[in-house]
Amino acid sequence: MKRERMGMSPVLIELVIVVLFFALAASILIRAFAAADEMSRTSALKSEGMLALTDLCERIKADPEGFGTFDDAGVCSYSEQTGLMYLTARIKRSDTGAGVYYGVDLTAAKDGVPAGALSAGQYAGNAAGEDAP
Amino acid sequence: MERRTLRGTPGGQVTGLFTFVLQACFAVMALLIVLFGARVYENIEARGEATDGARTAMAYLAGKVRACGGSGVSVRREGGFTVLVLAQTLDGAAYNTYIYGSGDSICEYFGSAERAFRPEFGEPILNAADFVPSIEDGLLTVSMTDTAGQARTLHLYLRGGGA
Repeated sequence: MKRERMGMSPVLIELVIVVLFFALAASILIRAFAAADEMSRTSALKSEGMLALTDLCERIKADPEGFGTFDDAGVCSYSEQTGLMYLTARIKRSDTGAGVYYGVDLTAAKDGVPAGALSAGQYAGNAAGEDAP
Repeated sequence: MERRTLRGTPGGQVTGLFTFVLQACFAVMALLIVLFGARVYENIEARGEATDGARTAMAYLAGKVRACGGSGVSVRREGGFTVLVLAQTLDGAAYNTYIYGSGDSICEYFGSAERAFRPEFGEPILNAADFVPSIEDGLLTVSMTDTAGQARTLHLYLRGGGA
């Protein structure tokens, strides 16, 4: 009877080893799949964020003075919600000899998760109505 | 002969059952992994396609308008279409690029400015519906619906002001 059991055990041991090996491989695969899914989500979020940011940036460039009042330091803060994306803008106006420079810092977030940031700047015509270089 | 004897015993039946359960477990896990992987791949593909579709359309239009320069950009109503017209001069001759929506496509037609706009000559360049361009105070606004059915709006500041 003892010899009979000894004869069966290698098959079982082999099966157990195979299943354990497969479980190990499966856990590695699941982690890889989850990481790929997360990377895809992050990529889509950042892409959507950059689209929203560039869009807002173009609107600010078209009319930098139309996004609120500037304080004494020449700073204007603006925020808006487009869909689930929350956009904030900080516009800093500084008078230079060549005209007025508007520095724009933009950030995007979706459900509290940062979705991108963008900085841009633009010269506007000076008081004499001349375009800056 | 000995094995046959073993299978007949209660211990042998348990061993056989255990082997079967292990193999079933192996098969179910393999199936689950394949299904999970397929689902993830499907999600990644769908997300990528939606993102690329939107970005491609926006980037193409922005690139075209930027290449033309702000002063040559105008929006006209021609042949029943609202057309984004990009005017440029090549070797002293005036040419227009007409971008307009036709059905589920955005079409482009490049031709001499002296010739009338012929929408039937336009080539579909992007899959997007409801293409509506407009210019107000030097800001070009293009609204469209991408392949995923999501409404998109592109704003572009035209340095030259547009027409």
